[in-house]
Amino acid sequence: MDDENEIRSDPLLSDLVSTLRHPVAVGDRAMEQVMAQLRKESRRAPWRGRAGLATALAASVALAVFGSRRLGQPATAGGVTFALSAPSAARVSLIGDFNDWNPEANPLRRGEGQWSVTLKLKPGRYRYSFVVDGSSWRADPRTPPAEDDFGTPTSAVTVAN
Amino acid sequence: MSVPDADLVHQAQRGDLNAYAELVNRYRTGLQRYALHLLGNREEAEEALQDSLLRAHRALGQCQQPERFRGWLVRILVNRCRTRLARSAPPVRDAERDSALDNASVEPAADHRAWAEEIQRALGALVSDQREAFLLRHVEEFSYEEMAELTGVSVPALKMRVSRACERLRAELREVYRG
Repeated sequence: MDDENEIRSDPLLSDLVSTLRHPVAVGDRAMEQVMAQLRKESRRAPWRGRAGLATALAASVALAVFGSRRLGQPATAGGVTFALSAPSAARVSLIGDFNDWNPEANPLRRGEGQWSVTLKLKPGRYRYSFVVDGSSWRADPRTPPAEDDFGTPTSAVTVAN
Repeated sequence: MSVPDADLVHQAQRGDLNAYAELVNRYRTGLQRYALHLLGNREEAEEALQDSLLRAHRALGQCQQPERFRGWLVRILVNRCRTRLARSAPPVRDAERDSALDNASVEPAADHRAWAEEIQRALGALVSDQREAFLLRHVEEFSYEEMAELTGVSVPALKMRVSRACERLRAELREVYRG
């Protein structure tokens, strides 16, 4: 009997394998951080590609990869305010390309009716999301829906010159 | 019809991050599952995944058989997980940390979560090379020949590890299993 049949014919092992094959919710954030880091490296050193034409290609990818989503108010290099209405939240933080998706880097402050934080960002396009109470990711409701590289709802802002 | 892995690998090798994200996305379920079940600890699994995906991207130029990208990527993860296991004292497995089960009997249909925790405990009772072989064979469904390439271990030795793993898992779970 080959070992696949051995598993099939044993209810315990069959249940065990069936359970182990379920997808697990581990590492989504880690994977997002990887892509953020690779994008940053790509912007910093776009010649890293293998072929000679990598420079032009990588530069175009950096601009095209994540699409353009503007906030309701056009952002400028002077400061971008990120805000979220979450009246029952105990804490809200901002994660994105500008802080390596680190939820500790940019906590939002509770104001009248909403949480907000203002960041000075260089011109460019940034993807971001909010983390509510340390675990729940929320896209910015003021922007059109978008998805990150792994299908998680997220948002993007373009900071003009 | 989806783009073949080999085409995406070639695009990624030329610097296309979209192509790399698509490749990772295709195999993410297996990568996440393998890392968590092998290491038994969420934080360790996340770090191993992160480390593997960064290393894989940096080493894309060395992927000589792009049509076999999945095996190449899993080999990197297998090695990173081995390194983490060998580096220091074994991490506390989540099932042990969270265990509220003690020796209670568990019916899978009635309490799936408790059954899953028992499985994590039983996996933790295996020596790591048996756990590695069992997961690659029966959860990720690699052939023994593929596993031999991934792990650098001979097919007969892998078969023995899988067989011993099955035997030990049966012994660990028999008491709590009510199929």
